[in-house]
Parts: sequence; structure tokens; C-alpha cells
Amino acid sequence: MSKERDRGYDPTIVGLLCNWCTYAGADLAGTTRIKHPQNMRAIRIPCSGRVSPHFIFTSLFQGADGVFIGGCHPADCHYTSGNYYARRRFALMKSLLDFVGVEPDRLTLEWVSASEGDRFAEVVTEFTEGVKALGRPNSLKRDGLES
Amino acid sequence: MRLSNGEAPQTIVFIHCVGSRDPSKGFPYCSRICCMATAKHAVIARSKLPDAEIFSFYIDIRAAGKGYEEFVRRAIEQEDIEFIKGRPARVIEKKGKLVVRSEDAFSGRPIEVEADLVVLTNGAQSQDDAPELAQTLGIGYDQYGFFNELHPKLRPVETNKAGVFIAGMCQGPKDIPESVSQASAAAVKALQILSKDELSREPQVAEVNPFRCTGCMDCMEVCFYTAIEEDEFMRRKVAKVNPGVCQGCGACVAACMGGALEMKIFNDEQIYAEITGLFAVPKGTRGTDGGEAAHE
Repeated sequence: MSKERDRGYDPTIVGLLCNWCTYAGADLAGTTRIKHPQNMRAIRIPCSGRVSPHFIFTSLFQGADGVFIGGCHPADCHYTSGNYYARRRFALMKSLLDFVGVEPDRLTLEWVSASEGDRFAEVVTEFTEGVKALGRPNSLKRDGLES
Repeated sequence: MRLSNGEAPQTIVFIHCVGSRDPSKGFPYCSRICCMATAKHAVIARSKLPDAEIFSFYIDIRAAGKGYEEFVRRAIEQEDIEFIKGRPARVIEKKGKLVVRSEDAFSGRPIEVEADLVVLTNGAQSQDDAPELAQTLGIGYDQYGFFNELHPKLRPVETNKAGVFIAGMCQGPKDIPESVSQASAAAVKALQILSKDELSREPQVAEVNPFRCTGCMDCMEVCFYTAIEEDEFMRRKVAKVNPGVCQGCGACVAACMGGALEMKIFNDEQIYAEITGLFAVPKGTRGTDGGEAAHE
């Protein structure tokens, strides 16, 4: 990967967004026309507790520059406890990424409620900037991986 | 009548919000029934003792039911019951009398009342063993031991466990009319299930592949809805999802080490296809850099 391409590149971020809070929050950010970087691609999931570590690794193997998990605020989960499982798994994933040589900052877990369109834009902007600063590609990316 | 000397009390003091609406006591919530109940008791006391002095110390009057406000106004205006806005600090026994020491928020001065009878309106609390019952049934409860409804506005009598309904004070302080209407709703919700020959459910549920399941039951641990039970398949223990109870959150699917659990919607195959689709290189374009291709 040449130096030139690293400068000011457009990262690709996989967003795994909980159907009940963050996905609706992202929708609200859109309908209220709040500006934020467009690098995050939203994938709707029923609950942040549905996020398996496999999803994160699949994204990184494919070349995602960052993975954003969005869930409901603590005590606000539609399924009552899914976000707590997500939080535990997230903590383990962070150290696992560190162990396998991926910057842990490529992964984030944020709580955004359905009414927090502005907060959604805020955290996405922040994360995108952070991922941009890390550069590309992530060390797990496999070139020529058949999709 | 005072049992020790057989005399009827000449001064009666009612004290509202004893132990409730007080975060320092650990009960910040309002018991809801006592403003009205106290007014009722005061009016009954007045009818028995026309010459007695009756006081009622309150924080705010929260008699919010139909006709309740009118009743409280009647107690104040027609039944001559002295409502004093103030929270009594203490009750001292002095020469056979009970001295209630309080503030009077309207005059801004401290006030003392020598009473023959002090009635405390204790805050409503849940049953001590309510959490135990909730755990047995697998339903949610809050920090005060009240059972949680599934949704405060849209599903007020259902619990997170399908087929278990709640009504009345077990869900939170409420008066008789409210309890009756909640109970009626719960009864109809129960009938709704029983009146049908077949149960309809959401298609978004998890399913176990018994060939892959090792019977570790990790999924049972994470299931908030207790929808997963043990089953036997080819003479070994496996997990089984009860599709009538499953709410389709997917926690078990993510927890399953062996990949034996799968959802019918939002399944692994669909999500992987979405992820890889983001990086797919459109036909006819050059380059191996998936990230950039996704932007084109």
C-alpha cells in the first residue's frame, strides 16, 4: 500500500446497528438532515447482543477499516439484557484484537437511542476520524479474498 | 378510642408520605393511593368525632383519580380538616400526648401539634418475596421488587415471559379502579391466547440444529425469555427453542460456540452476505482494494 493512498483516504466502516435504538437513531439523523461522514455502512441487526465476534472478524478480513456496533443505552435494551452481553463481548473483543495485532480502536461500541440523531452523528464522526488516523489497511485484511 | 384509657381522641394527626417519596430512605416513588385514602379516613373520623381537631400533613396532594380532587376539596372545605403543607420532622411523646413537630410551608414557620392520635400513611412496598417469584416465573422486576411490564404504554399487562400477565400492586402502586382495569386487561390478554386453536407468533425466532448442538446450554444462560429448554435428541442432551416464547433477539445465536443456533430472520448467512457485499468489487471495475470499490 503506497503512502499516497494512505493520505486523506476514505475509510470503510461496517456499522452493526441495533434495530430498536441505534438504527432508528441513524434514521433520525438522516430525516433531520444532520451531517456526518458517510463512511459507515449500516447493517441492521435485531439487537447488539446478536453481534457475534465472527461478524467483526469477517468485516476485518474483508478489509473494513473499522467496525461500529450500536446498541441501546444500558437498561434500555428492547430485549432487556442484549446490550449487556454486547458490552461483555466487546471488552473481550478489544483485547483479542490487540492480541492478534489489530488496533483495538478499529472497534467501537456506542449507545445511541432512537431519539438521539445528533448523538449518532457525533459518535460516527468521532469514530470515522479515529479510524482515518489509524490508516489502512488493517492487518487482517486479505487481498483478493473471494466474496 | 384510645385503648389505654378508653377516651376518644380529640386531636388526630395524619402524616402523609411516611417512608415514601424519600430517596434517602430508598423509596423515591409515590405510593399513589394514600392521599385519597387519608382524606377518606379523615372524613370518616370527622363523621364519628364531630368536635375533634383533625390535621393532615402533606407534601403535595396527589389525588388524581376521577372525583378524587373533589373529595379532597370536600374534606378541606366542608369537613373542616386542616391540611398543612409540611413534612413532620419528628413525633415526641409528652405528658401522654404525641407532639408532632413540623414545618408549615405556607406560613414559613415551624408548627407543633399536640395530638391524641397520630396516623402514619406508610409508603407502599412490594412483597419481600416478590423477586423470588419473579425469578421462578422468569419475569423482570425493578429495584423495588415491582414486576416489570413489557412496555409501559403499549403492553402494560404483559411481561417478558409470554403467557405471564401482571395486574395490580405487584406492578407498582395503584388504587382499586386501576387494579381492576389492569386485571380486566390481563384476563382478556390471557383469553386471547386460549380462545384460539392455534397460536400465532413472530417469524423472527431462533432454532437449534440438534445435529450440531453439544448440549452445553450456554444459550439457556443468556436467554432472558427462558425460551430455551433441555431436550433429548438421539439419546443425548440438546437445547430446544420454544418458538412461542422466543422473542428473536439473537443473544443465543451469538452465544452458541458450535454454531448450532440460527435465526430464521437476521441469520448468519444474511448478515455475512451484507458484510461481504459492502466490499464486493463491482464487475468490470479494476482493483483489489475492496474499501474503495465499495465507494464507487
